Amino acid sequence: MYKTWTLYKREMGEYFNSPIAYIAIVVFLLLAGGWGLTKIFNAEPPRADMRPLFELMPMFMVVIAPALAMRLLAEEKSSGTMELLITMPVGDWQVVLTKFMAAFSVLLLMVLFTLPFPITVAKMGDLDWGVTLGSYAGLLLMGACYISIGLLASSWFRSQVVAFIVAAAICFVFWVFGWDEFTKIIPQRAAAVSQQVFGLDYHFKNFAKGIIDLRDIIYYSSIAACCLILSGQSVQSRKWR
Amino acid sequence: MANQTTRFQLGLNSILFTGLLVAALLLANVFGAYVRCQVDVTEDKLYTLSDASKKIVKEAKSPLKVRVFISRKLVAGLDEVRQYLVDTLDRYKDASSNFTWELIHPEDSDAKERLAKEYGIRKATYQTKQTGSKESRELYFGLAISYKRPGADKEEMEVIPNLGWNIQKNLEYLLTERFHRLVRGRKKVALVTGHNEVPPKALSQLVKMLGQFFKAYEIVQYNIRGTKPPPADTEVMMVLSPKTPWTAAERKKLNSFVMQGKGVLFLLEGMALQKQRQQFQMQRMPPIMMPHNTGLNDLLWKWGVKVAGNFVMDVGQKPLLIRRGRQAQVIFHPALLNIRYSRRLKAPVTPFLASSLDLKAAYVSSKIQPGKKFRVSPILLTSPQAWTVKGPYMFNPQRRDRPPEGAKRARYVVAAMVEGTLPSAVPGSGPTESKSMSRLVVVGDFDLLKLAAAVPGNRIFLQNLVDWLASDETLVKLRNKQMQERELNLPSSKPKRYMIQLANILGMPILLVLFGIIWWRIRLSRRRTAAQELGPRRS
Repeated sequence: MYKTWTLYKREMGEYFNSPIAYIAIVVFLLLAGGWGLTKIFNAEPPRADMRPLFELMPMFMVVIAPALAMRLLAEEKSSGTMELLITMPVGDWQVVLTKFMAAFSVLLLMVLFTLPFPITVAKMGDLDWGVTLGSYAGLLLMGACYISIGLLASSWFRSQVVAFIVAAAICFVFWVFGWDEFTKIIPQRAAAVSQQVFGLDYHFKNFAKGIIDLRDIIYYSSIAACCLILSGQSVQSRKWR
Repeated sequence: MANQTTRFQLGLNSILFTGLLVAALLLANVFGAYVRCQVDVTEDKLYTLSDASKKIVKEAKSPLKVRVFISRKLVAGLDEVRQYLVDTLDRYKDASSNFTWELIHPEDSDAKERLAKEYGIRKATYQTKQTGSKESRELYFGLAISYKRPGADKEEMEVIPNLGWNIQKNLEYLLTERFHRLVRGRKKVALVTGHNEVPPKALSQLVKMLGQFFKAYEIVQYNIRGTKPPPADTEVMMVLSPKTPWTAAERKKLNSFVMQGKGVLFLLEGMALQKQRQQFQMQRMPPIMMPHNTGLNDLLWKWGVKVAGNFVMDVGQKPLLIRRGRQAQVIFHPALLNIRYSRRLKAPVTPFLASSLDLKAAYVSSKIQPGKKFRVSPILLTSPQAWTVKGPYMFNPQRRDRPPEGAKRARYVVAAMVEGTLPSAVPGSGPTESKSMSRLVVVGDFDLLKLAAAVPGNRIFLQNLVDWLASDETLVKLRNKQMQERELNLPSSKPKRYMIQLANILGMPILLVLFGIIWWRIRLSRRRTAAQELGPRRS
């Protein structure tokens, strides 16, 4: 446990000793706040409803989460510290999970920094906190999926930029498959499969309404677990390749 | 060679392990799709079937059948609505073994299409909701509910030909209201006439309007001037703005109705328009309002309420569009109250009601007498800035009256409810007190009903009042579930609004950047210190 904690602290240090976390969080807050709050404040009539804020957050995540995850394993490979890391008395799985946890912590922090928005709205109106907290829960689960995809891409490449582009592309595909506009241009049955199997955004809709559905939790957990397992295997593959 | 075999085995194990785990996760998703386990975290439990709905379907003594007619091919986005409908019907099914539902795709066969037509369900045009989308399709999206009440000759039917896009807002109410009608039947509500309440020509229109508002009830007319008592199965009486005073004999009839433990809704006006002389009409003088005697205040005062002969005026009104025939007029007058119901003031008839009501009210005075077996509670209040005016008062809708100097500014009650064992208000006639809990509601205004067609808040409030008076509050909470207008009271000054917005958007990023700079400086100084400490040793 101590070793994992040390590794976790090291990862968090990497984030906050470099501008990565600051840039990602500031960009995210400016985009989310600028878009969401402007829509909430200028709605006619104004409603104490945080939905405009959560409408686009999943889309921002498509870019922000891979940016947070791109360096996790790719940097270790390119700088040659991967070999050093695997000689440490920690398992490959521990390394993967700790890195995931560190990136997820930054994402959690980033999402928590948006809390002043609903607090302000709640001060001026009658906000449904259940729906708001449900949306946050969904956003975090979706973010965990995107980060695990980013981690998987990071385990494949030495270059952080390539890892970012590949991860963002995969996340974008997942997002597009759940997008209503996309489902209109494909056959009806394919649209249903596309949304339910690949649509990360589709499964977020229930959370945004204030419904926490076991099906959505299983879905998000499966995607995240799948990518983490594949990342672990990717790290382990050096032993048999 | 041995090393190569080990590596091959390792690789194979690894791939197999990964494949098995991924397969297990896929299976978990497949099985998970069949498990309906949802937690509704909304404050008003918008997506949970309420106890009231469960109770209604449980009361069904014979099969309560729902046939849902939906086309196979829907427009984009409507799938989600269909899924919501399916999930909701499943929840009803879980609540009662007598509840059944089936999904029918009418286009599958001629017989199914004929069945849909028999029930009055026809195709309607649905267009995708996304902006810029042009996809529209003729499709079936309706349902029919049938139920045969024990002892009844035939099945009764309720049909919703087209459910529409917005059912996610009020589906539970749409369904439970119909189940309620089928399972419990319709109770009688007597509309009291005999005092020129409305012009004779408008009476049938009023009855029709009430029939539309109170679909769970059968509206019957009852002339209080006649010799007969109201029908025995009448649950609620409605006394709507009598223009001439009630006589003692009529009050006695009303008293004996209340003594049976039944409910009465009074929409009374404290001030009434005086008929103008022709010369004033010619000069287009504004009408004059005078205190109005309904002859009911003495009776009501025995039960702790009365309608004062004055007008309540308030700040914060909103413009009201009044249509008279083809003419429309916007009225903006402090006598036209726009009452925003506070979610914090929870009366049994207004749980969660966040809508606003429009009315032109008189002050309802209430007398709280300790030790009595009944309770008087206010249900509609003005703002604390309200004031009253007495008659004669020249009502000019074009003029925005201001409170006179020295006017008492206070929160005035414009509607109150009375509940409990009421004493007989006419001594020497029948029992001395009501045999069970009686319920009364007194509203100092008739416009509440007149405006109900145009103002949803008024309509829902009135429906809730009648349900409460009939001691059947099943639909009250459901009805309000659809009214989720959570208001945001933004500062009226634009600069202040922008400041709040900017502070929110830029506040956190600035703090974070500042933290980053401080952290960077600390690390830099630590590094310098370390370099200084190491420097001499190196040299």
